Amino acid sequence: MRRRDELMSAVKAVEARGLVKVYQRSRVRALDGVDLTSGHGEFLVLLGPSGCGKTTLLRTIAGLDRPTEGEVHIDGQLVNGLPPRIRRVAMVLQSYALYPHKTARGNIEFPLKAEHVPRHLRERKVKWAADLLDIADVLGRRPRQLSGGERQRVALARALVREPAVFLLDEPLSGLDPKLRVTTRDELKRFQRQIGTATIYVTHDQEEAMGLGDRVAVLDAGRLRQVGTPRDIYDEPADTFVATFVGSPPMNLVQRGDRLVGFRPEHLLPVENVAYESRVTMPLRIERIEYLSGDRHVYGSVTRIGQETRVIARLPATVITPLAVGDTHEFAVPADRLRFFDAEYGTRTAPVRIGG
Amino acid sequence: MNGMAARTAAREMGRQRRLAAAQHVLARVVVYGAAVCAALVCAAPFLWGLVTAFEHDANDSPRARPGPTTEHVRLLFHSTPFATFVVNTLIVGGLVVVVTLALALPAAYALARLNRSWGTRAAVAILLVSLVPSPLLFLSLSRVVATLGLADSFWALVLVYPTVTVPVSVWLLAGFLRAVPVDLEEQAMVDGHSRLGAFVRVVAPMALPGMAAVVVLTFALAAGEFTYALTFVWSGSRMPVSTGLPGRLSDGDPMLWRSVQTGAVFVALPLAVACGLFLDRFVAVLAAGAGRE
Amino acid sequence: MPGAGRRTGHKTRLADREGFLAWAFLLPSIVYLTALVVAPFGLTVAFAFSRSTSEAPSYRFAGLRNFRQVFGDHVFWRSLLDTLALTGIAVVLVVAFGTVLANLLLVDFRYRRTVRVLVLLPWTTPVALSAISWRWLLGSAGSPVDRLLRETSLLHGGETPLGRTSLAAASVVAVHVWRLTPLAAVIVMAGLTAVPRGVWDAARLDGAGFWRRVFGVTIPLTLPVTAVAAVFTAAMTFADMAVVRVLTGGGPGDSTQVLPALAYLRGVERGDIGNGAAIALFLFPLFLAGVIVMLRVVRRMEARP
Repeated sequence: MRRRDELMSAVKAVEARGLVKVYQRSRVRALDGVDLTSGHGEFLVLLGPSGCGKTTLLRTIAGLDRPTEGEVHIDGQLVNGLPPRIRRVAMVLQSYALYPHKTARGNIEFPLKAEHVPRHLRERKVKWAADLLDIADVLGRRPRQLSGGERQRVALARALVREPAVFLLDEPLSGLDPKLRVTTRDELKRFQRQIGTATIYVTHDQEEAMGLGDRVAVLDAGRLRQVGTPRDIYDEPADTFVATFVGSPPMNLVQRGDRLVGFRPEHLLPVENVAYESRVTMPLRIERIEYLSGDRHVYGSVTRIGQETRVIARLPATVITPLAVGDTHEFAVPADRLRFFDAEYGTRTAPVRIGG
Repeated sequence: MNGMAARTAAREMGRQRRLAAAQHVLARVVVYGAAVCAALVCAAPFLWGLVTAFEHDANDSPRARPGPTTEHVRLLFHSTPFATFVVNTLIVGGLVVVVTLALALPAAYALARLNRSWGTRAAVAILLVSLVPSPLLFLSLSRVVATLGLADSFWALVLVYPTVTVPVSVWLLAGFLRAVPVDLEEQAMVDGHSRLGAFVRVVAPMALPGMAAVVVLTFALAAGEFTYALTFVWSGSRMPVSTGLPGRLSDGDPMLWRSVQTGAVFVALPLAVACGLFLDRFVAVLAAGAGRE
Repeated sequence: MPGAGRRTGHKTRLADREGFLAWAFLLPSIVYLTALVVAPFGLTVAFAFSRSTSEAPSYRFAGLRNFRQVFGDHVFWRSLLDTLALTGIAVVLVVAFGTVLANLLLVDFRYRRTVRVLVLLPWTTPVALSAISWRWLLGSAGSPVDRLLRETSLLHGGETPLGRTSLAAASVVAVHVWRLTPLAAVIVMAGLTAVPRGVWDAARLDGAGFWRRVFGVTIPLTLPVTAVAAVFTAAMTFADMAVVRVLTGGGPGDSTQVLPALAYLRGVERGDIGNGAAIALFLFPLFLAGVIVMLRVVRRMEARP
């Protein structure tokens, strides 16, 4: 099958080498040396807070912005200096950017007309894309008559008909209702699996990123912090930024000398719930308890393993240890769940032994 | 991809890249060329005016010294009532600005904030008034002016000019006021002010830059008006610069030609600079209006 | 419950009543404009049917006498045709140049600020003064235009551009176009910036080349503002008499006498108010056409979200 060959080939769908983007007027380094590759058929998510450069990176790959330095390769070809249409990329912008004066059909047809595709082929493609995205019955309407979800699907269809080498999606779910977001997320992933095209997806929502991505690339201030599967990013964060950005509630960090000791809230449990072997204990003075979806979120301060620090512990419903605000209770973390970071630079360091 | 196809593809890419680069350069050249052309054409008569302002007239006596001369500028201020004209224009312009703001500001606020069903229609009606050509009105207005005893005084101009400036000002001010978020006003009302108080204390200060833009535009429109000025004011000492200066041409000394057109340049430049400062604001508010409707 | 039937002691202040406030704020402007625009217009219509002159301004009904006079005056017909032709040509040129200029001014290039200020010169300057400058540029010996015209042998000997009928008419058109292109450009710029930014990016991504972008996206989306710019241009051209009066004085020999200038000549200089009013009334259909276009544009724009 073609897809498997592509997956196994050494040629990557998208490759960015040393991308730097500096805006002359404001001297802002939107991208500060980014190296990234994405394989065929892969769903790669660019995750980061606003202003981290993820949209700039996407636009540079698309050809809408020119990098100050660096190279972009698509399907093995160097594409620097080439306009977007030659690159065989399709992008769905955050606002969907549908042509307001055209019907949905007109919008989807537009790229095909631009490439002088003959009419019968054009109609076939539009029908195929519309059926795939389930918008066949709204083709005659204008964008202002469509709902948010329908507009998004029209934008996707418009991208789809170009049969690109890469799909680029810029925060496509941010314009939707929260409830719609969850269902659309699922549909998007299934859609991508079905099409099999490499996809690069930008978002600031870490939950979305973890749920959708085959791999996640975390960016901050124009730099790539870590790239890996959601599991790797979560369990083995490369620095404190990744550790606190991914995961909700964020990882607890306690300063101990020149190190930061990190442990996730779900691993911080009352001592009687943690196996005796290789655990690290600490007293937690409870300040607040939240009850969310069956879990208990315990807010308090710990001491002994480092400076006194406010932490959060997430207790699942199965942990029934009685706790009250104002108590100080012994909590513990399994030693293999501790992560250590350099206090000054935030980078991951080797584990340090802490007395049990 | 086998080797042959790969090489062809690479060659094609290279060709496309060169084509795109060439197009990019061509686009830049066209842009700069067009910009230079536009600037030159727009400034052409004034540039020529500036150049010749300091030249010697062909009819000057041969014993005049070579090199630039300020004779024409001197003549402008001494032999023509240019200074008087400018003062008149400034006074009339200033008064018209005051009257226009007094009329237009409340109207703009009404249109921007108080959402009545007739709101858009009223706004459009006001705009349509600005389309009424002044020749349709000037004869009747001259009768009105004469009846009010304002003939040949610049108060006639102060009375009539706002018909030109108010409609545009209402539109622009409404746009600027709409840009101020409603939340601020509502916050002020919750804090204890009446609607009017909220307007005066919160909205008006925030719309100040927009109001400045409207002031500049109103002044430019008032300074530029010709038809009414010609009809209502005929004695030289009361003319504004837009009718006074051309008047000097018909009954003045032909030697004064250079001086007269120098005067024209002197008035044109500051006005353009002042308007240029606010151009971005004008475009932004017009765009917001266009996008909203 | 006690007190339920009692009114609160705190009366809503007048300044809070929305409906009242809206009217109070709008009224001064409406009254002013009605008194100084709508009423005088009615008066002009009345005068057109009168025998009033500036010496005897009292109203004496004269039926269609003025109109009969006007219809028989070949200067009037020439003037009417000239005005229409002038306005038509000017509008086409202004819209074309204005659109190009608007696009140009939106591109980011060095010294854009300066260019923007220079480009505003024609419109912000008082009409009469720029007409003076143009007259100087066209008429003075040794000016670049003069020399250019001689080179291309459009001009011979001691003539000036303003002395030949065809060139004089062309000069008047040229000055109007020069003056109004910046205004049209500003209006079109507003329309262009109102288009959501993503649409341009989407068009590039979709592979649309320059011309397809222009005809498939830009023009359809800016049609309403272009119409507005055209209407304002037309209004400012056919209503203006400053350019003609200063540049050519109506000459050579009444060949560039546009309707407003003619109305002024007859109505003010010669003092025949009735005649002047009748002439001026012929500007009304043009105004009406402009109003209709504007209303349709507004209706179309209201249909958008």
